[in-house]
Amino acid sequence: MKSNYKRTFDAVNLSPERQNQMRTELFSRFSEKQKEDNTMNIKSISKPRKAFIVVAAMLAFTLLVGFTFGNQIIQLLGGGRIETGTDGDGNSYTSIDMGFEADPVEIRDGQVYFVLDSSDENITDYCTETTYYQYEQIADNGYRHVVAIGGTPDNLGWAEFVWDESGDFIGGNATTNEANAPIWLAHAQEALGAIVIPE
Amino acid sequence: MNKSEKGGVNRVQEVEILELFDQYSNMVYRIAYSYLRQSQDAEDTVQAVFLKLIDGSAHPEQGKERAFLTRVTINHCKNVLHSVWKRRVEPLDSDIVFEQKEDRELFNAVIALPAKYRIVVHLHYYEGYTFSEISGFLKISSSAVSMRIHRAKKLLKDILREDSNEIQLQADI
Repeated sequence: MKSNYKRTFDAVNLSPERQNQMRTELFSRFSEKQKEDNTMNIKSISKPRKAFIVVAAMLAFTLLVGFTFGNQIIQLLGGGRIETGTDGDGNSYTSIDMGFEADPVEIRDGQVYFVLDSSDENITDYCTETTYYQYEQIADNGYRHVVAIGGTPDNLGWAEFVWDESGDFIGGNATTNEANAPIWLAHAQEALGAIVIPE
Repeated sequence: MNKSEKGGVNRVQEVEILELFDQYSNMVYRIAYSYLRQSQDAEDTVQAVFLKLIDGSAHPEQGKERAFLTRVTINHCKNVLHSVWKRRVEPLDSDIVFEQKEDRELFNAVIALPAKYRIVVHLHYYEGYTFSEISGFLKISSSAVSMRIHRAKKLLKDILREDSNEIQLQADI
């Protein structure tokens, strides 16, 4: 069994081309990381220390999406976009830009302010380890976007979920500093019906 | 590998991480593939695992890099399997080239197993981890690992026997 299994899975490999490409991407990520570190050092001068720690942690864990459907581009409220389709060779692809280009909230004096829609609403009381603030918008194409913000001021996270014009759940992305989905996110998914049933 | 004071990586760590990538990227890929059954998800996992090292959110102890990367890979795969951002459609890849026909049959049989069996089979039979080590990775008891291996082998035999019967049936026709 062992030798057969080993020989079989020896064939499961990254192609050398893909491996080189990923290596190159990692290499470029080092440069980006250096820039981010420099930027965060500058931010730390003008922002409260707590806010800086949150920003640093957020950058460390960005979990992304699983949108898979027809050829189209969905512009996310957070600034990123999802593009899916089929290339010239008939291979399906999913191109994902970062969901949130900028933080949808600001933390000032330990208070959480929602700034995605420029409302600057104080949402501190909505955000705990188990509860979340919900913002909703219907796009011109009829797609429903829901942004959820949860967690405590020193451990915030956010997510965006999308439904099509028929009300079918398309998918979502989340930015959190925890390895596993936090409780508030699980509650948001459950309440919104934004759940893909695992195998 | 030590974390730099700024929380990111310095030049020495950069070289170390690239060396780890060269040495272990295929191991991470195979573990992720055996768990997630899709090459794109497995590639995403490779990127995610090594980005954690770059971002400074994960730090392997010297000499324990392999076990560390295995654990981070498994945790990432678990999140993918049980999260909202899991891909909704899971076509199986068929472009892997195998040395022998039997390898393809064994591959198909393994991939047909439930995820909880696939991962223990792979960690034990390919990576050579002991039941005790696997129990640590999966946070289940050693006896549960043993039980899963036993059941997985039985399922594999059943699947391979069915395939064999089908092939025989087609030959008879």
